[in-house]
Amino acid sequence: MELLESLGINGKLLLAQIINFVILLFLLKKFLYGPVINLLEERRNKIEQGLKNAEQAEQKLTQVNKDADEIRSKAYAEAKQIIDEAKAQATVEATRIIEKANHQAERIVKTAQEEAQLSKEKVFSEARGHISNLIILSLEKILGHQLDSNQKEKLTAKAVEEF
Amino acid sequence: MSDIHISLAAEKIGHLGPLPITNSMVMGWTASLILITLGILATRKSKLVPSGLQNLIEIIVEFLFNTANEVIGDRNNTKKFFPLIATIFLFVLTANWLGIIPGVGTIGIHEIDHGKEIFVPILRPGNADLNTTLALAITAVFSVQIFGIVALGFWKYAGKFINFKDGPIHFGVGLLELISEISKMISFSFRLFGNIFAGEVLLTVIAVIMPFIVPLPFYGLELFVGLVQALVFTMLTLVFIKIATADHAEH
Repeated sequence: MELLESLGINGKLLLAQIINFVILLFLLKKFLYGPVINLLEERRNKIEQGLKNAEQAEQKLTQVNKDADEIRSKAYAEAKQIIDEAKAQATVEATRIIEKANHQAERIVKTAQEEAQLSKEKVFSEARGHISNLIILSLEKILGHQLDSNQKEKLTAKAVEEF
Repeated sequence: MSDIHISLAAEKIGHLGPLPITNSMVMGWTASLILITLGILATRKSKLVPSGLQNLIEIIVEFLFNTANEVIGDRNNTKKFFPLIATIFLFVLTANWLGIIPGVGTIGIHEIDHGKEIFVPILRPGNADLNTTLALAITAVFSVQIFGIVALGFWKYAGKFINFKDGPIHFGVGLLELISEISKMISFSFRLFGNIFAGEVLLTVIAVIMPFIVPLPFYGLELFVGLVQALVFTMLTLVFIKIATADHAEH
């Protein structure tokens, strides 16, 4: 005991110091370590999450770019195909239309020709009738009498032949 | 200069009920008060993006936590032990460095004690008092036992010290372990006390012999010693916790 006393150790003081230290420990735990460590942890998680998010975003971006490229090249190919098909179809259609037009034109021309032929023939036959009548009348005037139908016919045929 | 009075024990400067107030205790309270104030100020308006004081305190706490974590090796366990470790470090460091402030140990009153006039400084470095260092050591070693019991269970932990199963050699080893727990307290307290008390005496003596300029390097030395002693106390506690919570079979 004397040794402890000469070293300045005092039971009451020792106990007081222990209690002081424990109080300090709990106060610091409540006001310092708890909040700070929580905050550090929170920040750590945030940063980790952020890094993960960034990585995911980058991956997504690459994927999206790849997808876009794929879609674009697919669209190009499709468009090209459509245009080609359209072109081919247009050519076929054009040929068909031209052919049809040609046919129609031919037909029209043919009809017109036929009609012209017919009217010409009609005019001719009519003219022939008139002319023969005129000839008969002139002959009757010249001869001074009526011709019988037998003579009429002979004369007319002759005249028309010479005509 | 008059004679230098060096007292191994902390001087009483007052009474609080039955409790004597010593000059070293005042310094201990000052250190505690500073730490609590800093803690509250730093975390009062804590933000996720830190600045100023919050930043500084966070750096210190994070450094301590990472150091402790390197020894313990498990974040969850480290969280359990961290308050003790950090408080020991911060308190010892603050008390040590407060002791270097000029005026500590030199401002005082003259008292008549046993018919002799002696000089009683009002302030004395907190750790230049065996009561403080022994209190720290007892708390640390006691906590180590509790952590050990919590980690291993009472019987398994007690089996480290009292071992009848593995023959007389292991029984002897167990007894030695038990004695070493007590010697830990003694070495903890006397190491810290010796360093800080010696530093205080050194500064006093140097200041009496050559008061100007010359003491400066010694102040630097005491700053360094104060940090090293805080680190030693903390690291030893850490290692003891690590050993106490480790399973015997793992060795």
